[in-house]
Amino acid sequence: MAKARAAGLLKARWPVALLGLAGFALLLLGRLAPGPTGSFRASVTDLAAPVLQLMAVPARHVASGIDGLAALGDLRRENERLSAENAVLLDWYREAERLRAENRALRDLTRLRPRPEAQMVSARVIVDPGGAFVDSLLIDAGAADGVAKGQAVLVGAGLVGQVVETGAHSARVLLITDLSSRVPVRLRESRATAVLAGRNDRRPALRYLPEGVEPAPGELVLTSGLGGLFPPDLPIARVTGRLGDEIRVEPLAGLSRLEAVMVVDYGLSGDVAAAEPAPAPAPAAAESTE
Amino acid sequence: MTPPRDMGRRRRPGLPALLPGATLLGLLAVALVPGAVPGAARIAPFLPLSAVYFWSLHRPALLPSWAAFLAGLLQDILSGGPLGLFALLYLAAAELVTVQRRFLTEAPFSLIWAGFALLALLLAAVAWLLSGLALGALVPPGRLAAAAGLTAALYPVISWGLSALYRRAGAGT
Repeated sequence: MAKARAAGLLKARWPVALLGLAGFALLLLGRLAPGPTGSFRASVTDLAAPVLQLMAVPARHVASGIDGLAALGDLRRENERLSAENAVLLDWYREAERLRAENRALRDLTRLRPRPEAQMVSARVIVDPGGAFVDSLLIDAGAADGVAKGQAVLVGAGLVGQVVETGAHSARVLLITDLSSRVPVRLRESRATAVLAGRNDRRPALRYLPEGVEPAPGELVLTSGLGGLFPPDLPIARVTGRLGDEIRVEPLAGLSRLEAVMVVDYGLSGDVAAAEPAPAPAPAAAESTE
Repeated sequence: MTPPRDMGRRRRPGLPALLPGATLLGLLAVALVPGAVPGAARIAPFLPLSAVYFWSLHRPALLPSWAAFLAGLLQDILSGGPLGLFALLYLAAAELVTVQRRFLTEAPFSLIWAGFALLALLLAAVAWLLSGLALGALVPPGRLAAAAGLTAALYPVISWGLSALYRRAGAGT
């Protein structure tokens, strides 16, 4: 009797078993064929993006309303602080203008190949899933706006991540804290190079530091530009210290609550393989093709 | 707070029938949209699980397992996580609740809540292992455990909200 009931239950449950198998198959497919599953994901995301965008508007108002209420108390002090900061920044602006002119003159002198002008697209964050598994964001600009895979994503404070998937009007940004994120970096003071590796928590680690280099807490970490993924000297993080046997850093950008980001196209290939020096063709062969 | 038991045996077409799916999608959106609820990012991964549990328990006919599966798949796609992970988790949740339903619907609310907490933690552990399989590396378990714990702590509020909505929709007793 019980056996018959169990058999009946099993029979009634076969669609569920099928779904379960489909789920497992998807998990494996995502691991074995990330390309096709990625583009499938991008197209579904593109469809859902307008809805999420709409939902993000009231959410943003609620969040900013709460922030606004909290900030109402010290508006005056904030204003004074900003005025003072503005004065300092204006000085820096003049200094930057002067340096730019000088830089241009010196480059003309040395005939250094100019860096390509950076193209910027600003975008709003429409999905921020919290990052228990993957630290990524969805933004509301895509291939139609000039966003492409490999481009750097920044906020004012520093580098946030890199575009990894694009739809027509949406794109996914892999944050520097993600487990699979690797960014070639350089320490500002010692100029030692390392790799900033995400760990799916708030503090990425510095790996592959040269032997004997012990970065001081507070030291600034910049992109090194090695590998051609990012341009050199973008600020990323600050060293917080040693945790276990790893040096940990704190990202300069507050990654937990990003509302808008800048996608920057530095005209780099964004492809590590392509950035490696290609075997130089023999001069004779090069001439013969002309 | 009076816990919902089996709300209304009569089935009416229309609004109440759409409510489980709509609230599940709503919680999914809350979990994904940044800043929707202060601190939502911390509970994001498991927030929709409370709706799966609630409806599977009190109105299983209105939230079939395949709907839970699809909601999970949507979450996987939009969150950028391993594809199929939450689809499997929500499917398993709906099925587990269905199996235990007879026992749980008779139980006092505290037991229903404890059941949810247990389910959330169990699924967090499964998610941790499965994501290791899908990503090729184990993520730090801290965030997951925190998300499951916080979602479990929030269950009474969500359960109250969902049953209030269901009653308001005109299907309650």
